[in-house]
Amino acid sequence: MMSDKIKILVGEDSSIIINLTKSVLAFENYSMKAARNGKQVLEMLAAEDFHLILMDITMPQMDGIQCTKEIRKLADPTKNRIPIIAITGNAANHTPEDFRKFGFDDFIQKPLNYDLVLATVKKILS
Amino acid sequence: MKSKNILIVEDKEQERKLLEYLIGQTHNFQSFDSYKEALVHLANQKPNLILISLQLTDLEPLSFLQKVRVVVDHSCLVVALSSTTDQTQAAFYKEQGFDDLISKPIRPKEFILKIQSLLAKQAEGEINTLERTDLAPVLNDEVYQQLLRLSSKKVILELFSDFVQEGESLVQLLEMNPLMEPTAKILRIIHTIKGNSGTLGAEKIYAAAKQCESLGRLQKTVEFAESLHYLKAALLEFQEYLNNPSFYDV
Repeated sequence: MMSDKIKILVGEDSSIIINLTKSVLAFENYSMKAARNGKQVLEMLAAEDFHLILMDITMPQMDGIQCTKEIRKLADPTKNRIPIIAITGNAANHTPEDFRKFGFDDFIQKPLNYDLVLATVKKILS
Repeated sequence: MKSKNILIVEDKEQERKLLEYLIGQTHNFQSFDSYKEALVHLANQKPNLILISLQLTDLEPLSFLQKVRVVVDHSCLVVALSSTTDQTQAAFYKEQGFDDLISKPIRPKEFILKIQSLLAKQAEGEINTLERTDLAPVLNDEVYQQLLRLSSKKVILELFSDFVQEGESLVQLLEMNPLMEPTAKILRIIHTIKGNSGTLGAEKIYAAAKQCESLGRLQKTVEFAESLHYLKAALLEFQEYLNNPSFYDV
């Protein structure tokens, strides 16, 4: 059972980005948890319900693209349809069409502009 | 005069002949029908571009790529030839270090344009000299004000302090590696510093880290070592900027 607060899972290996994102999302009254790699994202998603995932593409052990593909294959429709926003430092390597094919709902480029992050989160959740 | 040297690795004879014909119009080539033979050749010859079919079975393609990277640096492009048109797979191979993926069946005109475009980009990279990164501001005030608006000053200052520590650990690592070679570990840290500095508005560090990363990935060791000095200087300057009491008055 979810509480009223919107819960966001962030897959990101930089603690600076994790802490900054947590602080910004808390200011907007979102609740946030962080996973350091794709495997942890899958584990946390299996254990808990979230409304949205912000997923860094480049993570150790399992990257964000592989993790998103695994999520889209899950049997549980409440998990496999979760909105996922890609965070990428190398967007030049992929087209927006690539991101859609990987299973992402949207993508944001690093360096992060948090006004854009919040606007994208709001757009995807609306 | 034929300009570039291309290595072709394809075991299907008809397909190999087509590649030889297309490449041979404008470039020198060597061709092989197994990964292992190609590796033997690479021990002595350094081509500008390697075209490899992913369907060969004498080695895993990714294992072949790793072995290639031991003997040729990143200025040599490695392009996979695949029978899939699946973009996900293409992205996967690019993530693994291939410079591009071309789908089979080969469409001659498209193929030639693709190869020419890759070689042109490679030439552009070769003339890419060290640019000045010291003109960027130490801290982008617009980003800083945005962060203050969306978070709290206390949190932002703590994160700046964490970021300075991250920079110090890179400097320590570089001091242990006096040759300043772009090892995978150093490039990983620089990539993280690039993302963090850009997000925090540490613009001079971001510009320097971006340049270091791109030179390091091209294995331009001399320019990379020089660019690291800019990065170290930018990290130090950021630290001094934060140590200035007037910064906290704002």
